[in-house]
Amino acid sequence: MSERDARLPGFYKLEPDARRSLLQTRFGLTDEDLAVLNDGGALTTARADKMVENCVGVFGLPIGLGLNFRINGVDRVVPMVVEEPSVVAAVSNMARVVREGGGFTGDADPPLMIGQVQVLDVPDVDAAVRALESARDRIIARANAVHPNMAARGAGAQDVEVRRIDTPWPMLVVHLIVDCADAMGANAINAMAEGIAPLVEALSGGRVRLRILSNLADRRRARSRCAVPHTALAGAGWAGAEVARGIEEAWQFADACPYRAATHNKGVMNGIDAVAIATGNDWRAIEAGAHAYAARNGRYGSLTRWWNSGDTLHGEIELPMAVGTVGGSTNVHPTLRVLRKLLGVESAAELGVVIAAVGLAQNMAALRALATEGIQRGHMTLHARSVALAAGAEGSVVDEIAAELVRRGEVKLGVAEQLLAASRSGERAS
Amino acid sequence: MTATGAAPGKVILFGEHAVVHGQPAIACTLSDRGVASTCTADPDGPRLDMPEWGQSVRPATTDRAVEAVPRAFALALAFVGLPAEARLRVTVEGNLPPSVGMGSSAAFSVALLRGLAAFAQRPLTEADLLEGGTQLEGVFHGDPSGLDHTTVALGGCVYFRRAGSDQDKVVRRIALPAPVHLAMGVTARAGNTRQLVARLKTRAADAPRAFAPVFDAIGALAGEGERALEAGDWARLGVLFDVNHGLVNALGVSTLACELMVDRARAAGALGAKLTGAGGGGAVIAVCEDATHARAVAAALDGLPEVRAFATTLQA
Repeated sequence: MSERDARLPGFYKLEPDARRSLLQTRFGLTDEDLAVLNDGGALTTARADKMVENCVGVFGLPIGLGLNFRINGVDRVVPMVVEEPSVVAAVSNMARVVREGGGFTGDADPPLMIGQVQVLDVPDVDAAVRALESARDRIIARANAVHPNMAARGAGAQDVEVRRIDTPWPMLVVHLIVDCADAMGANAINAMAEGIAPLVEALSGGRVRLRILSNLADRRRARSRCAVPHTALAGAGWAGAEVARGIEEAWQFADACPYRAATHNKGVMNGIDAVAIATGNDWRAIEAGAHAYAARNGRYGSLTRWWNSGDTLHGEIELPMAVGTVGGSTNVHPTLRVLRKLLGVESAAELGVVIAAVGLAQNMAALRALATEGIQRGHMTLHARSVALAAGAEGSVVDEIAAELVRRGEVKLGVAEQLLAASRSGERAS
Repeated sequence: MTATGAAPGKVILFGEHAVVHGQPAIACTLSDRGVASTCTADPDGPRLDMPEWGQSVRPATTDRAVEAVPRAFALALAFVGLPAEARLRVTVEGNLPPSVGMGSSAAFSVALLRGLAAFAQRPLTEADLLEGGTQLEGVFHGDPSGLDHTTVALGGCVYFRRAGSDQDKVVRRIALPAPVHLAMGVTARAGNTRQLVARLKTRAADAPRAFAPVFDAIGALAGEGERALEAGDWARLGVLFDVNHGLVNALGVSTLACELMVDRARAAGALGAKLTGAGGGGAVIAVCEDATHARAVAAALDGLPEVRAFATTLQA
């Protein structure tokens, strides 16, 4: 994988065209692939019209590349689709730092998802539970018959669990555990849950209402870890050990306080959602699973953990990761094919580990910035670029105007417009 | 431990009956219908439960008079290398109406083999599965053409021609660019494939000059159909369905129920419709524009007496 080196020094200084050319030589993208990436991608309104109802057009978002990632010994350039400035830069910087400690490691659970069948009006709950549990093999087979090709490939329904809910409304919930292989699996699980419903009614004597997957995919978690020597964290007048202690204390705040944990996890999802979108995955499903998992102990907490031992900072993240590399919108959206090629993952599990690593990197970047110089200044520069763009600046003028806005401490659209007008009339702003 | 196996159902798109007479045929598996098996260790085993059909059997090898399922079970155990007294219980479920040409026995055979192989932790190659499928299908059908279990074991769309004295066997996959949406109607009265095939054989032997051109014309449709399927040209596929149906009718295997279903599907805007499988009782497939259209056509068929209709999808 050495030819896929994820370090691309000076990449940020290049024009987008030059960046794309570099991808062509480094990752074997074709002219056709590059054309797909250019100018909003190749999703036409005609195709989009097949994806959603009342379609009137296609919405563009920037594609940035998270650089420097080394995950389980493999270099990865990670495509990220996100509108917020500084997210891509933050994860790339942290990935560079983490490389110094050997990069990220990670693993993922087998791709088990849960389909739920809600059963009401059960006449004899004990008898119904016994009947459902003793018909486990039959329920599994019935589910697999509805989606035979999944089970034919060795995946599909694997197990059945019965949950009793007593208060405030008594009901039984049948959980169908489904191995989704490399698919996210939502369609298959929903079809299976619908397929077993008549059998569940017959066995329980009750009445089935909902039949649908659960987004709390807690059997399908992905994890990532990193260990960073304190020396790699030094900079901007801060000693490495000081930065490491700051990150740990910032994490303690999130772990102890839901008000902070919400913001902390939002930062994690800045990275995770961007990769999920870039790989055609349902980021709302990942969001729902992540936040539900963060509250699994009865109080909402952090998705990550940071601690120091000796002169090393340790970080880890664990969260449900219902992502796929097949199915969904992956076959419809042409840009996804190119970004997949760039990322180079071969299974849903591998993709899940990459996404977890990006979430961990994003969290580390946020905690470091918050705990040290404050997030404001780094953020300000990128915000100033957005304001310069909003004022109508183009090309190299964007950076000039952004720098001037930061220097003046006035990152405002009106000021940017004045600067731009001055620059266009060939005068220097006073 | 628990092991699972499954196999999809199938429908014949072109060439039923003609395939028995050496012509090529095309069949395709369904995405949402099939048979599945769950295998669990059980001290009272071996036992095969089919609760939907009220059957619970032990394997039987010697008594030729016993029904097909116990013999197929014994064959399957032996095929995957499990002892005849293996302590396991197999539970089989499915959603394929039997005896209407949806490949229920082939799907049963392949799902059983896959489940037992997973239990025995002995992976089956494609060739193993085709051989095992041939053995088990022999128990159910005597001398099957092989189209059913070949399609079901391979999965997807398959072009098939059986071996004969003057020709080699042909099996090749057809790549569908997208799933094909079908409406399907089946009658409550099942046909008897064996009888229908035998009766047609006699009739064709009595009037070879009348039947040979019909078989040839059906065979030619398989080639045309392959091109339409590969191109994703569903309108053309529909036209070819209509032509195939006319020719199958000429063979004398259609029924009033089938004719009514074909007529009703076309009136509901289907791109084309035809009898599928052996006929007799009968099943009909109609190719539709998309899933919504397929549900609408199925709803139109459902209004006919003694007909059960549903939308389904060919596996791409």
